[in-house]
Amino acid sequence: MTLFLCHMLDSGAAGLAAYGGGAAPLAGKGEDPFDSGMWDLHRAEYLGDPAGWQADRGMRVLAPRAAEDPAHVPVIVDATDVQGQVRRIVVTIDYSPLPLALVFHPGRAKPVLGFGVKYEIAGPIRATALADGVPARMGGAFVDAMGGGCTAPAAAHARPDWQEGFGQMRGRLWPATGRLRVSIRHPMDTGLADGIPAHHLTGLRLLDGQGDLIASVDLHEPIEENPALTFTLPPDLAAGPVRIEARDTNGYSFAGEVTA
Amino acid sequence: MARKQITIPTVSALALLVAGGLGGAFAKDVTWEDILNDHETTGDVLMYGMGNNAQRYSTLTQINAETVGHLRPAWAFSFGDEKQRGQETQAIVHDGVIYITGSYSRVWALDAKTGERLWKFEARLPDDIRPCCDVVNRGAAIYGDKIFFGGLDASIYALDRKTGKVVWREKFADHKVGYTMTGAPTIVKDKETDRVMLIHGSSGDEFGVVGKLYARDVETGEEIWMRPFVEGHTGNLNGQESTTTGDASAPSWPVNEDGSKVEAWHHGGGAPWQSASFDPETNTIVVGTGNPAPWNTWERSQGENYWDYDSLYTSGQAYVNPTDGEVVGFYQHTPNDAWDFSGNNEIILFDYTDKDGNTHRAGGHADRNGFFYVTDIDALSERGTEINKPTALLNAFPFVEDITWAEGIDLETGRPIEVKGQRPPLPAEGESKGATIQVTPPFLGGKNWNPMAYSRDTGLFYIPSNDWTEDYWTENVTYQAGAAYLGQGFRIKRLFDDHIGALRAFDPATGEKVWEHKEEFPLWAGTLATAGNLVFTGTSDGYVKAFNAQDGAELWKFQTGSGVVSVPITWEMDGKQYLGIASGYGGAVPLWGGDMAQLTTQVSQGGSFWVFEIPDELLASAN
Repeated sequence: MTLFLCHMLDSGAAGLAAYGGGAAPLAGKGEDPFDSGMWDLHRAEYLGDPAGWQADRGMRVLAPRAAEDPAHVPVIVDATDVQGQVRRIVVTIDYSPLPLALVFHPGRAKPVLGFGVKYEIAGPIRATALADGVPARMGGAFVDAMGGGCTAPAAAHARPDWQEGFGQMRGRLWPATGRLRVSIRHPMDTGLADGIPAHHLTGLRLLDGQGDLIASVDLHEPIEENPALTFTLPPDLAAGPVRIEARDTNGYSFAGEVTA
Repeated sequence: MARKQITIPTVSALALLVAGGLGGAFAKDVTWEDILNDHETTGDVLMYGMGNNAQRYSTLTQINAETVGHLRPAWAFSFGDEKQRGQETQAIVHDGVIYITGSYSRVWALDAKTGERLWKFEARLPDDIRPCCDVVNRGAAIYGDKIFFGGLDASIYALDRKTGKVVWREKFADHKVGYTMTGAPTIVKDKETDRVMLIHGSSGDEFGVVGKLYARDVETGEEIWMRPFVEGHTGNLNGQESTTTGDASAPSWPVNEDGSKVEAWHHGGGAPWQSASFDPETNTIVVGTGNPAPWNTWERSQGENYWDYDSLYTSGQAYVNPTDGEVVGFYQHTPNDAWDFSGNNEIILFDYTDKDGNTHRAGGHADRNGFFYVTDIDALSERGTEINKPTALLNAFPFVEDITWAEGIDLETGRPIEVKGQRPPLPAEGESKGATIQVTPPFLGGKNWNPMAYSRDTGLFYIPSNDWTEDYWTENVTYQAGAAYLGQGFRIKRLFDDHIGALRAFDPATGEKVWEHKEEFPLWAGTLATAGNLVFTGTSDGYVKAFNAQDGAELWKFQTGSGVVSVPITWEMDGKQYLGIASGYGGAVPLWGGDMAQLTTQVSQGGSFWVFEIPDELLASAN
């Protein structure tokens, strides 16, 4: 099976190794390849304790072996090799004070998402694909990190005018590959930094030219400041236009449109 | 507007778990009938003012003059964070849940029985908000499945009352130029259109904003209408410009030599920053309007002539038609207000019997200027007449000591009888400050925002007033966006050695002071009257106190640990009466109080909500 994104890497699938994390190690059915203390709890809390779940190399999580900047750890989750129609992908971080990072509903987009997270302490990041007719499939990557990403104030707060430029949206659509990248200026405050209340995006959706939903993401506290999200659209949608709508915990809403 | 995505089963499972812990709370949505009956029902508190008439009166009697001595804390809740400052809020109670707002635009839902926190909402505020008088909030409104409150960032937030998540948010003005919101919004149902709407104003007169009253759709937050309170400015209706407020040529504001309006008219103030009352009988919103901007009277006068320039529609009480946002009536307490007296203080709607035994539907209002006004709400809400109705006055009398700016209010003309020399003179040639005069009451008022109560049993108004004075002088002033726009300097001073605060009971018909209770510190908390022959309030040195409503005897007090500048409520739940009040010192006095600093620096900061009850065993022994 070809890995969907591998052609974008310098040396194809082999180049994955350079990115360290790559696919999760193999384990028996119902066993956690990371042997981490939090997975049982998170599986129950964020996934409804799915019966027959298993670790699956087809559920790819690409992340650096070590976080260069704990406030911005780049991650790609790719469920194109997961059997069945993937309805949602739930991303959790084992030792984050706020473990749930996002829930991706690929809808009519490919089940691939690039994003960045904050890392409070070293540990696995996991993506679990929930597809029609098959048990939940979990993939993950271990990220070493110095930590502090969730409890340090957002960089925006070093400036008294943090709200200048707040909500600015940038996006681009590459019709040849179906790649859609969007970024939003947002502090993504977790509420854990002293004196700064939680203020983060809660959701983002992509809509086609008719206003029909393409895909959506529920976003939570661990997502990086000024988040950038990368989607992959099938050829019929890659021609655009695509409308992007987002909301946050304070009731701000943001909207933009990208054309090919 | 984008909506949050469809829930996922895992999150629903979590929500179920939480709901299970609440024991069936949040079950009932709030209807207009619930709100209309709020002043009669004892199991809930749905409006700021404890009813659309703002009387702050409860028929509950379990806690009464005999039993109040047994009152004990049931629980206390800490607002937490490092954001303490002033807690000026009034709580709302519905269906076993208390909704309370706090400093820095925070809101909590608490289990009314146990005090457990159900959720918290905290607005993320910009760093350049400009509240003049502390980062306070005075309370929320409730309707349907939502609660509503105003943020210091000049926004209105509607929260899902079950989860505390934002349903909609509307930013109504630019916080950078001084618009902000501290008051509790209110709910009104327009009789013409049957439309339920959220009514709110803004603050910002000290920064030269144009004060505006808004009506919004409760479901979407969409503006239905907006009404400015500076004469000649234009309002909105259904997304389009509507009429000007009063005369388009604004004759109550002067003109420059070239015929254009003076600078002050463009930034004229009048902001309705406190909560409106509502008269369902005439379908009229009743709300106080703020001081004109700038404070400096000469900026709003033609030469020496201030008497022909009243600075309409500031420093008075406005009567507004909820159907279209038109002002139908206005009574001005302080024409061409030179003292920042403002007219914002609440207007309590009550049945008034005058000295001759005639009955009227009336408004009771204790103004910052030291006078108590009884106004005729039928006359003031009459459609198709002159807006400005100075003669719609039934009675007026002083409620604080040693007022200097006016001898009284002329009951024939409805205008104050001003004392000469009390408008501070302009700076002499080459000077930057004018000569200092002494004015009583000072700009913080004989009574400020903290609401009075009206007892339907005693027929008395209970006014949390202050006796103090100020040195007052003019300064040169030019409007600069986002900067204070006053043109006045001031220093607040003591008037008496033994007290500043004075809780006073007044007979509205005779103007007789029936009793008073003096307090060392300024009084900055609201009041509550009950059929238990009690009046409750809080003090800046930290006490919650109960008084005999008939004679003013202090019957009970409890030290909350920080100054009390909030508004008490009472309700009943499972056969028991409760008293609820927030503690946490702040507000305008420690910021602007001049010589009051000697007192206010003694008070610790705080932030908590206290609930009191009479324990069962004591209740048994008391009966």
